[in-house]
Amino acid sequence: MSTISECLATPHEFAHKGKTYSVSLITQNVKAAFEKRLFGRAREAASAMRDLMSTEDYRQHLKALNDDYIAGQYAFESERGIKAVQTINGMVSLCSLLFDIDEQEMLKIIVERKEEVTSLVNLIFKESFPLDEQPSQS
Amino acid sequence: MSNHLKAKYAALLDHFHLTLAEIGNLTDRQIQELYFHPRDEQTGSIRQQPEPAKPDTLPDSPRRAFLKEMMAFDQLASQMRLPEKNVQECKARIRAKHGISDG
Repeated sequence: MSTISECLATPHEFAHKGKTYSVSLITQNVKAAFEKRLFGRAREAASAMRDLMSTEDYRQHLKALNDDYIAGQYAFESERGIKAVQTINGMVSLCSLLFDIDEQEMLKIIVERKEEVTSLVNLIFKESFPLDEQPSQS
Repeated sequence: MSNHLKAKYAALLDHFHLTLAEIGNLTDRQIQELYFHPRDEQTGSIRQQPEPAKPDTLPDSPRRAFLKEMMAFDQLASQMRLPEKNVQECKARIRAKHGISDG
């Protein structure tokens, strides 16, 4: 990558089945959106378990979720965030943000073009973070 | 949000006059390596990092050093119109110095 690409952080292009996707780098907006999705998933999981918990337990569980969120435990670079990116669901979610498409469409692309998408995401991580602060994504 | 990150965002807003929307579109690498590029503590001016050594500045290989000296000598001999006998003697000395056999 050239110094210009590093500095301007211009998006990549990814062509698939006659469509060209503009693929963003991991900006502050992408990180914030990923954090919100991660937290949203945790709330959905809590909601799914609601019938198995007493009202008080459920309230406590929601409070713990909120406390963790406020403490930054769902942030992209948090331990939870890094673990999430290393899962298939987390990678699909991150890629859907980078490609700016829904997760269903992203999953189809990953299934059909896994090697190319993985290679591009590796490159995007390198371009998005300072060399001494590269988070592990695989 | 960590206090460290808040301080960086605050500096981007206050010092660089970026909007939050503009900050949202920056990568960590841009923030760290451009906006927080190392600066001179006295003047605040941007310090240029030394460029990595280019091949031309690397030490010459023995063969390259020999060829450079021979070319420089050729140029000098031509300018000074040295007699052919002296030219050959000098070239032989250069070859001997670099451990290069004749031819």
